[in-house]
Amino acid sequence: MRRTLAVALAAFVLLAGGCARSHPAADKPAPTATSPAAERKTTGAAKADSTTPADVDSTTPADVDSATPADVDGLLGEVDKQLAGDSQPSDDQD
Amino acid sequence: MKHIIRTAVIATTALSVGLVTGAPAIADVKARPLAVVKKAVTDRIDKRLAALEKFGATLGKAEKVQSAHRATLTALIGDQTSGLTALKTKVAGETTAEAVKTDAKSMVNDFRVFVLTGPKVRLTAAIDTELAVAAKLGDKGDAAEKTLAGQVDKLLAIQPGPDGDAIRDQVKPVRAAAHTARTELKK
Repeated sequence: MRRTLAVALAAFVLLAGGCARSHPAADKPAPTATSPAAERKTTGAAKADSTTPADVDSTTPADVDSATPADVDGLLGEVDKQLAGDSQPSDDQD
Repeated sequence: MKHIIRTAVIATTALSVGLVTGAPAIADVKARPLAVVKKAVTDRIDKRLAALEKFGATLGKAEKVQSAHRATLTALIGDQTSGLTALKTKVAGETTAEAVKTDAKSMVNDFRVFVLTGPKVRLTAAIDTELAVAAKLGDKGDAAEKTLAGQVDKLLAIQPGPDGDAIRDQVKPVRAAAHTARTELKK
């Protein structure tokens, strides 16, 4: 009887341990859950979204209308660089 | 008598040695100035060609330069590069120091790379960028727009010439306008 109980207990412990180990893996999405095609589609969509505001030609009227403080600051920074470059002494004085 | 002959022999020998060793030195003195002057002028032309290349890069980076101004500056840089390259070839072929001196004058007066072309590129880039900022700011940019009105046209109309100070004086108000507009846009 004792032996039977011991064997049953050992079997239960082994079974429980095995189940516990399989649980975290089950929580994670299976690698095959997203097909490569679907993944490409998702990445492409993300890229397309991220390019829209930044990649628009900066000289288009639409950009002028949608001026942001960051745009203005960036351009003023450019002006500062250009004016600083102009203040540098040249290689020759003539 | 023996003494006189000995003295004459020594004097003749000394004179001959002096003439033989001195001849190449005299020839060298005559040849060296031309080579030295040519090198000096060629170096200065190279400096200007390097500067023009730099101005081209500056213009390329300045995204807000208006297309008409960009065309004018691109043509100017191209013409000056061709002109100075031709002048460099001319200097290499000169046979007199006087001719090289004339070329050196042309290198400065006909191009004015440093006092005029450089400011033309840099200030046009700055002013056109300021105008782009002023346009973005709407009413707030009006003062800067007013300050900058016609400044680039004025700058691009300045021509090279022998009077460097006069050129500097013509560039000065345009530079001042660019700095004033910068302050106005900062407000």
